[in-house]
Amino acid sequence: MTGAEPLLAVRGLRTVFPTRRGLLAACDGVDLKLAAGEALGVVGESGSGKSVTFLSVLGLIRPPGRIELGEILFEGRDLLRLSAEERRRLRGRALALAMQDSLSALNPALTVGTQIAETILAHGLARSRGEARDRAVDLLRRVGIPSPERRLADYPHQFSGGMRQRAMIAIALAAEPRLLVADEPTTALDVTIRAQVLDLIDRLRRERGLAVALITHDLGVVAERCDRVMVMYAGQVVEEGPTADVIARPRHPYTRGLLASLPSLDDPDRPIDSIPGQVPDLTRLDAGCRFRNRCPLAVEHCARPVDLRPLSPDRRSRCLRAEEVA
Amino acid sequence: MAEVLASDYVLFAEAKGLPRRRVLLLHALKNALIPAVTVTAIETGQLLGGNMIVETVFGWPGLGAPRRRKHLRAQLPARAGGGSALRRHLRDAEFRRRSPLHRAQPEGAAVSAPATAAAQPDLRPVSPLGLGLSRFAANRTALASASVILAFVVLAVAAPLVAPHDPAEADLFRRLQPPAWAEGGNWSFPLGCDGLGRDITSRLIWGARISLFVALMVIGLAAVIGTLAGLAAGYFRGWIDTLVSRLVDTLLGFPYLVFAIGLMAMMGPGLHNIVLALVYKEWVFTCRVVRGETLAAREQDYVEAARALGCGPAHIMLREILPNVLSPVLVVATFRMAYVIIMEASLSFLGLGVQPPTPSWGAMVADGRDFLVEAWWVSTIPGLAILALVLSINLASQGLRDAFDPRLHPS
Repeated sequence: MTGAEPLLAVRGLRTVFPTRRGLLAACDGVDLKLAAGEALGVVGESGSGKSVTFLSVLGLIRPPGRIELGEILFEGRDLLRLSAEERRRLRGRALALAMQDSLSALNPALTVGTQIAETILAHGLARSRGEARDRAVDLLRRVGIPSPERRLADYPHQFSGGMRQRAMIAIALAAEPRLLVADEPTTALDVTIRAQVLDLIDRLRRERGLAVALITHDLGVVAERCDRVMVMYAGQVVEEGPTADVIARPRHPYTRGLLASLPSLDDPDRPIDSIPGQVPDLTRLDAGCRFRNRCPLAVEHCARPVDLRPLSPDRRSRCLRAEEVA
Repeated sequence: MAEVLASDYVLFAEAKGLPRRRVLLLHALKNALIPAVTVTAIETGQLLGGNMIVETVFGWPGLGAPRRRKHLRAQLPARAGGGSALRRHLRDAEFRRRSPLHRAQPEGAAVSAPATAAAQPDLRPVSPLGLGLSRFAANRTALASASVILAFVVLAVAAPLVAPHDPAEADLFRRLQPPAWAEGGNWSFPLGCDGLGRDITSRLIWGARISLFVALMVIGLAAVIGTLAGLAAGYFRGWIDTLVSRLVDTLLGFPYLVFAIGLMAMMGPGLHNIVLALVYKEWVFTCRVVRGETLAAREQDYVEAARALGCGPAHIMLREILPNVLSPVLVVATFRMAYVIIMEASLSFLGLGVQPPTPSWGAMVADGRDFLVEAWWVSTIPGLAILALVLSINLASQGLRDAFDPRLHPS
């Protein structure tokens, strides 16, 4: 972890969606910090609030969903106090998003070239269309797309899945953002391309101080690429700390469960443990620990509110019995 | 357009920080335009058929036009028209004695079928009914439109109770009596009387039965036929698709009104023939939409998954694909319902529809076109009723779609 002033600091973020069964807090009291050049892995199962947290940061929560509480400080400015127009200018330029599903994220009716160039032009980074085009070619080359000049005129459906994913990352990086939110950017890619894309992101981190929030299911990618990891469960951060430390010594039973449900290459005979039970209904929560219905360590006290508490200067856990988790 | 706006690529375009204008005009509109162009192409053919009514009003070289010209010149109530009006009245009276529909009306037995059909104006396909209803209730325009439709339905069902007079009762002393608020009108005939001295209020109320009955029957039958044909064509492809699609294209080639006029001429006028004549073509619109949606749906993974589970074609079509194409069917049905009401009015206007003295809004407009100058209300009032009902159906169908389409409500 770099000790510098954080690029992004989120405090007490609560984003809610009205549903037919009542208000659903997709993320509830999320705190996080991210410094320039840092890579934060965000893990958790589907519906744990990973994507919603970062869509809130980008200001892309669609009504009727809304941010109810909290502050999002980016370079010291609270994004929630900015006007819609000011936030728009930051999006793409300062905070970029690479989405999970490239097939639906790229507009089927526009060429890939148009979609890259428009980002460059929207943020005034090129004086002419020709210049924007040249930069688009350069971007496509850097994400490893062969003969990019020709490919600019293609429509998204003419690209393979992996190429689309890389084109989307090229778009996200087009305006040289300072923070990249990558929502499972490599899930659909094969291993070699995945390494290429992740290497590109790593290089930008080192060279330009790009901060990356890597939302993923893939603990392998996190272990390999991220300085810190944040584990989310049912809309809350349950554990946070340096990646190697968290993986070696989880301090929350959910993290331990996640790690135990991975097959191990070193010890192929180790049985895979799945976590029993199901995520609680997010509209029917009580004040207590949200994992306690599935937790092997649950005790009576767990029905009371549990805070995310520091265990050491760089580790936090939302478990009463964090020290006992082995 | 609403669906396009909820898509990922619009979200991604916003994530790039593009100006709102560009997101809307380029990213969203370009995708929304594709269906719009298709609709435009189909509608152009329809519009050509619609000319006939305009021609009838302004330049039909038949019986109406010379007489109307004479009226316009003389600016007098037509004495010449009196004789024909009397003959028509006698014929009407004769028809009333013979018509089984009319004989049965006092007891309300023969009309119970249209009455029950009219009591269910909304086609509600999606299961979370309460949710959709609450969304619908929150939409004030749609709610207001639904109330207007409901009011018409109630009037139609309760016609024998609420109509102040017998709709076919003519009295030449009341001929062209103005509405109550105009000079010379009185409140026993609130909307005035037509060229035969029949009460327009009562005719309007009874006419609502015809309009709503025809609309519901035609749309119901057309939706069932069109959906089944569309599902089969889209799912099986091959010769079934070729057969259905060529039939659809051929039918679309005929201007609607000309087609219906031809059929009515062959089958003869009458309520049931109107329904048949309209259904012959109306199913095409549902079929086209369903076929297109089915073509898209059969490539989806959930259909593949169903096939992998060993489901038969009937199961896949009815249980997997149908629920996903139902919302466009609902939209088409409600929008077309407005159109069918106009078609029935047009046919009756041209004298091919419901025969006098049974009141139909279209026939009422036609009755009044001879007196447009001296008695505007005879044509205008049923015209306004058509306008109000059609507009309400259009607005309510928009509201229904917004409320019930699950794709517009991801959470």
